[in-house]
Formats: sequence, structure tokens, C-alpha cells
Amino acid sequence: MKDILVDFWNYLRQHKKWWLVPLIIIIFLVGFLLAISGSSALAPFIYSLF
Amino acid sequence: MRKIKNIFLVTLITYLLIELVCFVFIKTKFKSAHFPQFSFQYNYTAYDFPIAEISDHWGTWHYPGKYVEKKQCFESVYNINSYGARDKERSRSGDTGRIVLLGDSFMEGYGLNVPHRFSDQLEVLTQKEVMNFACGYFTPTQEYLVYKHLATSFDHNTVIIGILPFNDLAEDDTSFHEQDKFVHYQPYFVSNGSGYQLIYREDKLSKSTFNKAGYAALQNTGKERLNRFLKEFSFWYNIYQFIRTSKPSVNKMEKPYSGYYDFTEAQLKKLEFILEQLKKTSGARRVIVLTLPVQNDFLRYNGSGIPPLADKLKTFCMANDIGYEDLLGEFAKKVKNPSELYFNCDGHWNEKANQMAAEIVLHLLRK
Repeated sequence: MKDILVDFWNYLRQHKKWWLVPLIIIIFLVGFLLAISGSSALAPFIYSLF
Repeated sequence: MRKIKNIFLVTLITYLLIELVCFVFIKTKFKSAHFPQFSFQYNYTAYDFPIAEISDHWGTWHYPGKYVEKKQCFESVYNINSYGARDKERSRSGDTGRIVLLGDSFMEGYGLNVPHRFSDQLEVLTQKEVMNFACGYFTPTQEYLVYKHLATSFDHNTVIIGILPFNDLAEDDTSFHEQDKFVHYQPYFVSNGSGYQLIYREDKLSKSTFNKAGYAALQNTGKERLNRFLKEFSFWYNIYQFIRTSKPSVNKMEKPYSGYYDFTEAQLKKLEFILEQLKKTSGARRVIVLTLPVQNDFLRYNGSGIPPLADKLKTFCMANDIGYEDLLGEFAKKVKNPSELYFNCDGHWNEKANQMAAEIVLHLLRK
């Protein structure tokens, strides 16, 4: 995983494709949020009740 | 110069896209997360919540006046009357058939406006005044004390107390509030070997910081200002806070906590003692105890039989001439999907649950 990220970083630097950075961040973010929201861990959430 | 411009552009676009994604997730998946209002509240100017520790006898109570409580799925107006109850003005003398209602935020009608709360709907169904003395944050000890020191001065012949097993048992203990950011003036009954003794967390009400002044001092620190700014002006921060506060609590448990199943014997004994005191104070009046479910309770309830807490309270109430109804079992009979009974952005009952509870209690009152 680390190698992929390093390769990708080198690719961005060499080809100056900085516009890809937001896209990659968003893909990771959406993936992370989908994984969290789909897991049963958050389904019975603990809420504040007074 | 061009490089700086590019970095700025990429950063800006990244941030906006993150915000867009987080907005979509709050709207669709994380509905319980706070939804930013984009209003300049981060410079704290006013205490906008009606509840504070202002009573010498029972601590937490309402400031008289009008307040608005707003969340993604509701906007609720709090009209607090002259003696601090979220209710219309009631005269102390009146029809002897009146009902006193005690409880916490569920009985107070958190998130609901006046015609839709349990007490309002019960008043319409019974054609009798239902005087609401419930208050958010209340524990059974406080409910007993507000009855003893305030509600008894109002003519009535029935007392209804709503117990929320989810937090009423655990919060009515001196260990609760130990890590709290406020200094609390909270009453507790503590066991002294032969019985229970009433103590207060602080010896004077003036030491409490859970009030307008204490809130202002806490909210005006730089950290809290930044926290409030991010909360009201960004979506990512609210998702971060939601995940941070939700995940660890759930991961610790294989099964979600339910006070109906996970109570301790000491908690039950204390609750029974408080109910005995309430019954004694009420004299010959009718006392009815309700146990109120949260969504977690349905996850533990198997759809039939009586949960252990309800079973023990039923036996106790029968022996003490107290009426009892467990609304977990009653609600489960009436709805297939319990989420129909709760706000989708908050764990409190919605209008439907309040109406259903009022109909169940009406039936009980007519027995």
C-alpha cells in the first residue's frame, strides 16, 4: 500500500498532475465514509438523551 | 507565484469537495450528526438553553421564558411558565381529578411542540388537566424531589412517573458527572447500610456551574469558540465529531446497552426506594409508573415475554399499590419497525410515540 502511494506521489510530481489530488482524496473519503456508515458498528448509535 | 496559485486552487477545490461529500453523508447516512446552521453563534452572547441548576431542592430546572431548540429534524419551542415547568400556567387549586406528570426529557416532550407532547395528548384524551413537571436531565431522585417540593402544592389525584431505563438508573448515582465539564449541584440517594440518605454533589447551589454564568465562562474559551465555529460552518467537522463519539462507545459492547436488561440490583433497589417515597408523599393518590423504551431496548427485546427490569418493577408495584405499564412491550405489539417512533436525527420519541403512549395510559387510567 505504501509503495502504491509513493509511486503515485512520484507520478504526480513528475507529470505535474496536481489536479488529481482532490479526486484521489475524495475517492478515499467516500470509501471510508461508506465503509463506516455501512458497518453495524454505528447502526445502534449512542445518542445523547436528557 | 504560479506555483502558490496552483497550491491554493488545489487546496480550495479539495476542501470544497470534502465539504460536499460530508454534506451528502450527513443528509443521507449520518442523520444524527449536527447539521451546521451557518450562523454567527461562535461569539457566545446568550445562554440559549432553558435548563440549568437553579433549584435548591432538586437542582436542574427550567428558566422561565421562551426558548427554541432546533435540530435537523425538528424545531421545538419551549414555553416555560412562571414556576419553571414546561407547561401552561396552572392554578394551585383546581379540579381534584388533575394529573401530575413527572419524568425527564421524554415526558417533557423534547423536540416536540405543545400540542404533540404526551402530556398534551393525554390531556385531550382524558379531558383532565395534565400538569407537566418533567425536565430534561432529571433522574428519579429529582423527579421525586420536584414532586415533594413543588407539585404537591397543586391539587391532583393521580401521579404518573416516566422512568427511562436507558439512563435513569445509571445517572442516579454519585459516579455520574464525575468527569463532567460542569460542577454540578445534583441530589442523590446513597445507601447508608440501613437505608438511603439524601446528599448533594456540592453542598451549595451557588457552587454549581451548570447555569448561565458557568455556561458563558466555559463557552468563551478559545477552544470552545473554535469548536463552535467549526460546528456551525463546516460539514467535515460534524462528521468527524459524530464518528469520534459514536464508534468507541459501540465497539466496547457486543450488544447495545439496555437498562431493561443491564441494570444492577443496587440500581433497582434505589429506584424501588424512590418509588416508595413517592407513593408515601402522594398519600392516597393514585401513582402510575411507566417504563419508557429507547431504540436500543428494541434491539435487545425478543418480541415476547417481559424484560427483567419490567418484570421486577411489575412485582414491586403490585405489592405497593402502584400502577405499572411497560411501554416497550406495548410499543412492540403496535409497530413492526421501532424507528417509526423516534426522530431520525435524535433518540427521543416523535409525535407518533407520544400519541401511542397517551392512548396506552388512557386505557390504564380507565381500569
